[in-house]
Amino acid sequence: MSAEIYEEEYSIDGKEFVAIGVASTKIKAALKMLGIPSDLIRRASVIAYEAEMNVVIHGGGGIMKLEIHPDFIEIIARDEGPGIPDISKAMEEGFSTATDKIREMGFGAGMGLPNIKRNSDNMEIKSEVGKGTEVHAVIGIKRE
Amino acid sequence: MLQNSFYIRINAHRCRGCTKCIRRCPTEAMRGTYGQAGIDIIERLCIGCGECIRECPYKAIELVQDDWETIRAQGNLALLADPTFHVQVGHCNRTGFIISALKRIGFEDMTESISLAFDVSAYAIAKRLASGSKAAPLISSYCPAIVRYIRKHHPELINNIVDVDSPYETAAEYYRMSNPDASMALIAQCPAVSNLINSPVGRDKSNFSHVINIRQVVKGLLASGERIDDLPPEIESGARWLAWAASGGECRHISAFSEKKINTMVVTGMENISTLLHEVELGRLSCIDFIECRACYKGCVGGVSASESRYLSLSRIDSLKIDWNISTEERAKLERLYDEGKWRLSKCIEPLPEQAPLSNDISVAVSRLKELKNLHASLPGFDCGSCGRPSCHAMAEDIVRKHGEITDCIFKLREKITLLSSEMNELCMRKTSPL
Repeated sequence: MSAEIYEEEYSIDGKEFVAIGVASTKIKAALKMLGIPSDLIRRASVIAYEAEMNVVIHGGGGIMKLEIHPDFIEIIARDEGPGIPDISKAMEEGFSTATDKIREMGFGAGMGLPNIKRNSDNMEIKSEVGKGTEVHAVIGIKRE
Repeated sequence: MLQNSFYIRINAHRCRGCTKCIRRCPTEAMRGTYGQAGIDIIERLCIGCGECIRECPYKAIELVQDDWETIRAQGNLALLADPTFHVQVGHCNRTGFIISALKRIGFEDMTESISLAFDVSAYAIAKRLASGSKAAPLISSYCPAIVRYIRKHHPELINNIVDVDSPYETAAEYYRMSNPDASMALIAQCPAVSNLINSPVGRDKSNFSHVINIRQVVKGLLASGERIDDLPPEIESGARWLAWAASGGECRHISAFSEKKINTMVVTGMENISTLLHEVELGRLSCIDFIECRACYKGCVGGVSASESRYLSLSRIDSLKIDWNISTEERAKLERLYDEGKWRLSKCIEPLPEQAPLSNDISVAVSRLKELKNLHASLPGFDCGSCGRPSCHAMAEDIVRKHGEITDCIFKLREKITLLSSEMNELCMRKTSPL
């Protein structure tokens, strides 16, 4: 039997700072209806939220995609922003390029990418300066 | 589905099927048929907040509870009321004289135990916060609607609920120590509190055998022609526990026992609560120590069974001269009661079953979710409630779960009729063409 794959794509508006978290809420609702265990849902919502923040803050908008395969969940965030010059530096906890204005709003603590990594079983970043960034985060679904 | 839950009953004679309650319900726990009496409550989803009762223009949603006259006739009962009860009667702003009135007609007074229990609760929470908890922030266990909401809709946050029993139950425990055979009744401000006697949280059995709502008692007292204005107040207005009737009171009480500064947050109203819990889940609020959550705006004074406007009640609470200084003797006594541990929940808070997934087989669930998305996209999106469901999304979900037809939507029905009638018209006009 060929298992069905579920896909959902959300476009993220770079100017809509107030609507942040919408994609992560939708992702959570979809995972709940599919009967994904609640601890995995929580990890997926954290990933989606942090990825969404990055797309808005650094990427100036982009897309987020949710893919549910029979044995794993994949969240993909893509933007056409400035790109990350030094990925290993960006992965350090506390490293942030956020402006003061964004920090004033309580964001930009430099925990976004590390948080995504901590909550996923596998994470990949592809980034090219001047072209954009693509983050893939995978969470495995264990079967009894 | 059922029309009677443990705590709410739909009066089919009064219900007109206007679906207002269905759209108001914060957990989408109600369904009905537009224009037909009778609404179904999906108990699996209901948290007992009572918003439906507040919304109903025909007063068709009633609380399941004991009757005041029966309770009164029984006598010999000890009455415990939420602090909200004591700020309900207006013309006389002496807190607690209503207790005197109840005593005069034969009820036992539990005020002393209540006062102790609230102190111990606040003290125990302050201790929990001081010792540092693995789950941050801690969430108050006082509002049973919130606890139920977390158990059903955010099971992963159950460990954030502070493991301190309801001060009502702790008060009952203290009272029982000196009155082992006491029979106790709870005067409740909302259906969620009423429900505590049937399904207590974190304990096997409630200490209360009867429950009645605030409005019934106040009305009963006033209607009995009992003179109540000449009575001396039974509660000192400095009583700290009275502050718990308003939002922020619990946090204030905990702060009084905290040696270091604690970061607290007070959030009221179900819409705000659901956003808040999502933020807690994302780990965005780990800098906060304690969150006082209440399902009703402004706290328990806004409970649906309160007889007085929440703003009047609030102003009465503001006018109290509450004494927040804790004497050394008081502290020593509380330390003793704390060690005794009656405030502790006797068992873990368990998650409650929430809405089941679309299917237990993930590939079936996936195809149903796709179907749901397509259905939802084809619906008008007004969330008008005419199909008897809270939203177009809920309708699409119900159809996928085989609990409805697309023509339950009044707009879809019209489209269908238009189509059918044009087909009929065409059939009628068709000319026979004999060979």
